[in-house]
Amino acid sequence: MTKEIPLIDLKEGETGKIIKILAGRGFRMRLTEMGFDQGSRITVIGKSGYGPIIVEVKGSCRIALGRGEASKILVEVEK
Amino acid sequence: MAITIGVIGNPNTGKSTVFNALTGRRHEVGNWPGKTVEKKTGRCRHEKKWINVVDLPGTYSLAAYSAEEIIARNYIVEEKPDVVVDIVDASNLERNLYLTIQLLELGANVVIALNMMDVSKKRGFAINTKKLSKLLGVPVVPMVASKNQGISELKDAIIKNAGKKRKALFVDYGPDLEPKIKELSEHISKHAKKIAEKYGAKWLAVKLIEQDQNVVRMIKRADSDIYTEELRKFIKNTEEIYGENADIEIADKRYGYINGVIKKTVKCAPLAKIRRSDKIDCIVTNEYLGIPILLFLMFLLFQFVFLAAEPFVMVIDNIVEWLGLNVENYLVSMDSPSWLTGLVVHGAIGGIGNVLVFIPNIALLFLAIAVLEDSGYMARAAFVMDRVMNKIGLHGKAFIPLLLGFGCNVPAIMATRTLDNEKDRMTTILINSLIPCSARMVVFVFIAGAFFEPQAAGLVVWSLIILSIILAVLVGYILRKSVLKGPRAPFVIELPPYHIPTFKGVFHHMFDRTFEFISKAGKFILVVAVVIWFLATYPEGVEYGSSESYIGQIGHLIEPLLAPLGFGWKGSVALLFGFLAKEVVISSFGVLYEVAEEGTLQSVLSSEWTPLQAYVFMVFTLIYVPCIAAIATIKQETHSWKWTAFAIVYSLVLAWIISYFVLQIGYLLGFG
Repeated sequence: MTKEIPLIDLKEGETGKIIKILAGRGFRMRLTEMGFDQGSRITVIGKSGYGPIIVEVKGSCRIALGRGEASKILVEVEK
Repeated sequence: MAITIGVIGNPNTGKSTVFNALTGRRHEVGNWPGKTVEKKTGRCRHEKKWINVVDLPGTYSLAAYSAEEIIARNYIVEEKPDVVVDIVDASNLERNLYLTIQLLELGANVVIALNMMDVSKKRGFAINTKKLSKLLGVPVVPMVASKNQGISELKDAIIKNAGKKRKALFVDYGPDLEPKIKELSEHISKHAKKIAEKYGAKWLAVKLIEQDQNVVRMIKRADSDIYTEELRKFIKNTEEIYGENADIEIADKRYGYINGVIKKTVKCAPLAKIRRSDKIDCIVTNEYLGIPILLFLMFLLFQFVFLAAEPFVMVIDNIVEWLGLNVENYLVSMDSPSWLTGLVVHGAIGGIGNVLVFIPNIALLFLAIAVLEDSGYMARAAFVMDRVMNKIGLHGKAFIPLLLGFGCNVPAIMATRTLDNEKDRMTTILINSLIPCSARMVVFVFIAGAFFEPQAAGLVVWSLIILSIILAVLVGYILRKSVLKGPRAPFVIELPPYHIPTFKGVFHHMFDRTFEFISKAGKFILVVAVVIWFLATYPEGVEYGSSESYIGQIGHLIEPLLAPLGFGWKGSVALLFGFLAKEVVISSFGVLYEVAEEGTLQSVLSSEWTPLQAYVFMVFTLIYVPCIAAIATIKQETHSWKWTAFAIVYSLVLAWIISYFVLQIGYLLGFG
């Protein structure tokens, strides 16, 4: 069974597939146009105890996401 | 006939480098009508043809969620440029093509400038540009703009393709959406002919399903029947079918299309796991090291700016003096009336000279900003400071503009352009003038030096800096909760790979910004300089700045207002002079007490005031009205007299209140 978890729960180095973005239209569209579309793979590059996290989307983009924002993105963990 | 082109692209694709390379820097900076978004236009000549180049705002998409996106979209649709040059980052092809696809859907005559081919190669991508061009149906010019490679080829492609009509690209939106899109577009082309011709019926239909508010409004105006209960139901149904909103489904299909194109055109060698940028990020965004590194870099930045500015300040000082003397001699030799000589020499040249000495600081701060931006560090600074700024209700990106205020508020206010959220930006602009710039530091050091022992003087200046930070935080917090209330802008920023800024790039940036400031603020400063000179010199026959002069009379007039703070008319007059530039406060004391030498002035002041009064005066100087250069910049950046007036009034009121409190507390503690 696949498990949907918020992106913020991924550990550094883990990769997940975007299932759903739980946010209002504006923010959802912004994320989509920056490469966070459904089904795309996203890897956590940097994550520390607090503050924003750094993720990789579309193979090479580095995007910094606030923790609140990252908890609105649901992903399926890839083994 | 000249060719007109629009240059568009994602942020961080080297768009401004391409623009500069195309126009050879012959360009003008303005604003898009009614917006605070900067508009750059320029021109170049190629193959005996003129090309007008319009720089469109950097944007990820053509949806209508930000001012930038709407400007770009409207320009393409309304102005119909002969060519739209789409700058695509070759190392980031998939994401960048999302914008490209939307341009093609609009039927724009696109020429793709595939920039950063060198970076792309280094990352292991091999892009078949010929095939890419064939699949997308538009020319693709590979280039490395930072090394000037491909610019001439791009110009060739622009001339060759100018004015070509292109059929809009149709992405297949799948069996569920396509029939509906067809139905809607038929309806639109029948009932809303005008806009259908302009935008394309199918494009409008897709936007309608996407629920693009801008388009929905436009269609409703032209064709009120279309937005029926049935359509709303359909959109809702798609959501049920896909378990997703229709707009997401459409975006997915676009990415699907892009994926197909990428698979056929790009070969990708396995990427090295850790890139250099990631390694650097590991250190500079580290939870313990991030802030110390940021502060250290900022310390270096200020050291550099002030050290490097010093010789230029001296040169400017000498030039102003030389110019004043020579113009005066010339005017006297021409028998010009004494009022004219005074106006030109003391009013205009002398007054502007007061502001001009800050130009080196301003220019070097712009240079520093350009280095921070072009190197990629600016985004990391926002990253590191977001947690702290978040606490006071501001975005991480607000930190650097605030910090730069310690140098000069003018470049600092202009640096707020990186904030996309209007309310965040306005707040950052309004609290920026609370950060004491170097001109105010000069006043503090001078007055503190006059009234306090050397060790205590340092502490006094420090206490003022701390006070300014506390006030900026508090006022920012209050503004964000009251007049500038609104949801916090989400923190999502791209971290572009680090690279070493080019000499050309950062110097262009510095010159552009500095000239922009001089050309926009120059006239304000001239007017205020002349007015202040007039007030200090007239009525006829009075001594400059004396009690009988107009400015002295105004000083007497506002004295009662400032009396509770204990400034007296001379203090009030000095503050009026400070409106031109804060450091003028000191020289005006010199005039008022009729002493030229600074040391003597310090002892005269200290015999006149108590240390507490001096401290209160410094507090007032810290907070009250930004100088004229800063006010002109606030007006230019906010495009609003209302907010400019607000900045002046609130700072005056706040200055009075805080000064009064400090005075009372001082009394209570037994000072003064």
